[in-house]
Amino acid sequence: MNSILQLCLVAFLTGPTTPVFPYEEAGLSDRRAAVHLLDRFGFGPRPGDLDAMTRMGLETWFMRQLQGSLPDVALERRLSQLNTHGMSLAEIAKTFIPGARVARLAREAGVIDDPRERDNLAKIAAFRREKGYRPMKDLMHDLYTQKLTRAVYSEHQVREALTDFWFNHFYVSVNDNQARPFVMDYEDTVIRANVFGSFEAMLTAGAKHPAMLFYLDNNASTANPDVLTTMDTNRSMRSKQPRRKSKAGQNRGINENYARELLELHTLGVDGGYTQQDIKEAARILTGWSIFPIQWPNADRLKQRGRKLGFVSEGLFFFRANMHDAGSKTVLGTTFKPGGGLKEGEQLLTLLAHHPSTARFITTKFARRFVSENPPASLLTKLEHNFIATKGDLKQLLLTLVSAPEFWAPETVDARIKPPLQLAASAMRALEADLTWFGPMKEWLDKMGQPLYGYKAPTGFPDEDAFWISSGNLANRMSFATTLASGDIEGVIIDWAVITSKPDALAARLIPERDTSKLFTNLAEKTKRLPESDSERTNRMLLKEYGLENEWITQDATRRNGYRTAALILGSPTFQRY
Amino acid sequence: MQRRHFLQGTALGMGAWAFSRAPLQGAGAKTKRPKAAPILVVIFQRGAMDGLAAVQPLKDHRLQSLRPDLTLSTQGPQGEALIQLNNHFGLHPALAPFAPLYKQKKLAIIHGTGLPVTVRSHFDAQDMMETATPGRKSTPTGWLNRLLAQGLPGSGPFRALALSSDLPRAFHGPQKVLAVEDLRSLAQTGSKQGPAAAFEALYGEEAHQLLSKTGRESIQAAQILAGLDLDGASHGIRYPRGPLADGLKQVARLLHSGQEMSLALIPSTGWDTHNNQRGRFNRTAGNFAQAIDAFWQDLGALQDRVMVLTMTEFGRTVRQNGSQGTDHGRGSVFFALGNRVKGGKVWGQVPKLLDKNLDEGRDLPVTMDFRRVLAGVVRDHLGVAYNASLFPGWEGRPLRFIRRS
Repeated sequence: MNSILQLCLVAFLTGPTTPVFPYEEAGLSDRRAAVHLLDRFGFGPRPGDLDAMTRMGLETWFMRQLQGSLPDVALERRLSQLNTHGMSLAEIAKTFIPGARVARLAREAGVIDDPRERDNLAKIAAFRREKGYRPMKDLMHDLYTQKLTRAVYSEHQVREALTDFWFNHFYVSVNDNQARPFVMDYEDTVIRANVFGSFEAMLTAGAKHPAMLFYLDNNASTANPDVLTTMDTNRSMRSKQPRRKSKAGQNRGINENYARELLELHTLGVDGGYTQQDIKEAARILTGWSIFPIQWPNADRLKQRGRKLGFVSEGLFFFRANMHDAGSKTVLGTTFKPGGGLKEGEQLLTLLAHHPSTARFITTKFARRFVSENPPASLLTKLEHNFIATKGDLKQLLLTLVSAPEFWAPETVDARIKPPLQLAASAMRALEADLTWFGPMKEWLDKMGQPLYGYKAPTGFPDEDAFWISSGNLANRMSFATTLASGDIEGVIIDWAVITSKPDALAARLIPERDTSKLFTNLAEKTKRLPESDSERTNRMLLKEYGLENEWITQDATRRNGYRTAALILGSPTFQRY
Repeated sequence: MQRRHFLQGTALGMGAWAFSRAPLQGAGAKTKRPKAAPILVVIFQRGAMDGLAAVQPLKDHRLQSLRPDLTLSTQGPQGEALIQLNNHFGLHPALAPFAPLYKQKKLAIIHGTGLPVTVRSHFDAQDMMETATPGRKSTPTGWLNRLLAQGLPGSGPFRALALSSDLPRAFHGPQKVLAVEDLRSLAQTGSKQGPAAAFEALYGEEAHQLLSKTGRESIQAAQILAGLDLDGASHGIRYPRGPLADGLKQVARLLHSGQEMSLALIPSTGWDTHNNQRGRFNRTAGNFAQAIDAFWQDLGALQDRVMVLTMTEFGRTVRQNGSQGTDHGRGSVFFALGNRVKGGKVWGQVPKLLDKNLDEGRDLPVTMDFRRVLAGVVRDHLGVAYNASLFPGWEGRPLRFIRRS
């Protein structure tokens, strides 16, 4: 009776499309399956998570994650502390200005003339205050803080795991000076907003966002100098004069960077069957896709006057008709007739989003991240067909994957290496750490080989275990483990009074449902070999000074054992896996 | 000693006994003298070094009007005068430590070199140079990793070393490379004050192949380093400050301890001089040359085995821009330092600086495909039989700027 009631409840709450996760057949208990699910589609369990998940049923839990309407109080409280809280993208772009540019703006405004004068710094500071400019580092603080905070505290773990994946796929980097101020908004409005939507929507939103337009240089891509533009065409139509090239054209020419990565990295994939000619033609279609000049004093007037000549503005996206190549193009066998304007670019994106090579490339990449580095062909076929049948519905893709036996198979479970962010966030969640300052944690992620938003190529971080675990950074993981556990990472506070030091209890927190026999053999011997942490040393020396050394040794032994056992677990091979 | 545990079955077993603190070549190699295999240290100047500033044409009066704030002359106050190399070229004063090496014919300059395609993005250009596949960004392996696969001698954890926290593209691939920003912190991990010992047993018993193998290698490398004196006196050699000098110093210590190493890659930054180039180039180039010179002196007898090659992803515009700096260009300068390098010479070409000779009317053209330089190093310094798969899609000839041994 109970199970029928449960089924009805599930059906009521989740609608007719509740999946069934075939983990029992794979030999996994409810709890073990829950760990796997929250590890791969989240940042690992907190105490209490496994109980909650198994009580309501994994499928129900998952569908609630997809609905996206869970209360997220702790997260929202933390995010409300950010410097950019409540600011629009335009406001952010106008407020957070790097120092060198403030100096240049000050010079342009006539506030300083001779760069070598001594009281310029004061003048620049006054100028900065008057304009309300804030340093770029305050924006970067927000970017890194919100990333870590969401990973550790968001109730919407599945959404965060997917945001991480899709951001890495449609990658933009803060290393690019121009893209930098826009990256945080990009992640939120282009990626996070679309992870349960359609691939095409995400692709198009990204193509129009300043972060991508700057990062891959499409902002600077214009029709070649001798070519008729959309504005020329519209102007001639309005004035009924023959078409001629406007003299005002300062077009520097086509930049193929974005078009190339669009085909190679974002949609078809390098083996997707396109040619260099396709790239050139796609680049021609995307000329004029640029960024609205918010810093111009009369920018808003542009919106009115330009419309008739074919300019289009959508938020910070600006289609510059005077830079758009008006000719006819052919991409992948499809002809785009002259006069396509903004629409032909949108049509190109639609064409690419629904191309069969895209289905294959995207679904393979998806499986490689969430299942294994060499996913079985049976799974790939299933995902590819689903992607095509649903026209790139990302929610359906996700459900298909999680409902597939291959996801729960022994070859999949516990077989991957945690990237550093996963490692750090899963530790913080399990230890219920309080993140008060992002800086030192971010430095550890850098040291372990994952500079957030800082990978040097547009491919984003590779989803390869061998990339994450090289000799250099495995040693760093061991140091990370001991430093974190001993409370010596500033900005990360672990309440050891709450956390018991008993090995089994620690293991239940950090590596639930895993075999700990090897880990705990000769535990005392192993923990003895761990180095004395900075806090331990400080405590010991302080108390020695006051003659209280013996007291410390007995009273604080619990704490010390807790630190050492936790450090051992956190640095162990078991904890590196998920 | 627990270290023995890891040395069983590894070829490093012999060399690892060299825990000697004395920086003598071959010291402590009690059972087998390490082979005198050649060593290549690559310094990648990330950010695009201005080759024209580093090695300036002497007789082109157009320079003065093209880059008035950046052009130097041989007649100038001390420290600001170009150092005459030959009839055609002068060396930037900040690079003064290179002048004696050039005169001793150990330092060669290769001008007008770079990618054969125009790429304006630092990252793209670096990727293309590090994978040695200009025009393609999706090549999964780097040229140094492919080189390791072709059969460079040596084994053990330091055979291929990248001094940066993330693995540089040049080293991407299946061959094992140790990527660590600071050898000292890895040494710390393996020392008595470090955690490696506690994890030894766990990684030794681990079932996951990659984890257990990497764990063992990691701990092994850390413990070896812990036994070396990485901060030791460099027999009176004074290195300048900064990460490049620091990295080179650690490499020297490692080599002197007898550890086998074939390839090292160290980054050098500060070269992207879009504004106020004069002062910035001075400082960056000064530190760069002092670090390399100190390293060279520190090597002592090891100079016979080591070659230093500097590379940069592209050069800079011939004309200065509106901020007394320069923008992204094409041809630039690579330096090569070694006992068998045919030094005392400027290889490559710099044309008369007329617009019609410049690429797109703005850049020093690339007249020497960078792969010619790399191929020359591979064949004549490292003694690796040249194989087409090392530089896929290239059919050029190696530059013969190194004497074969």
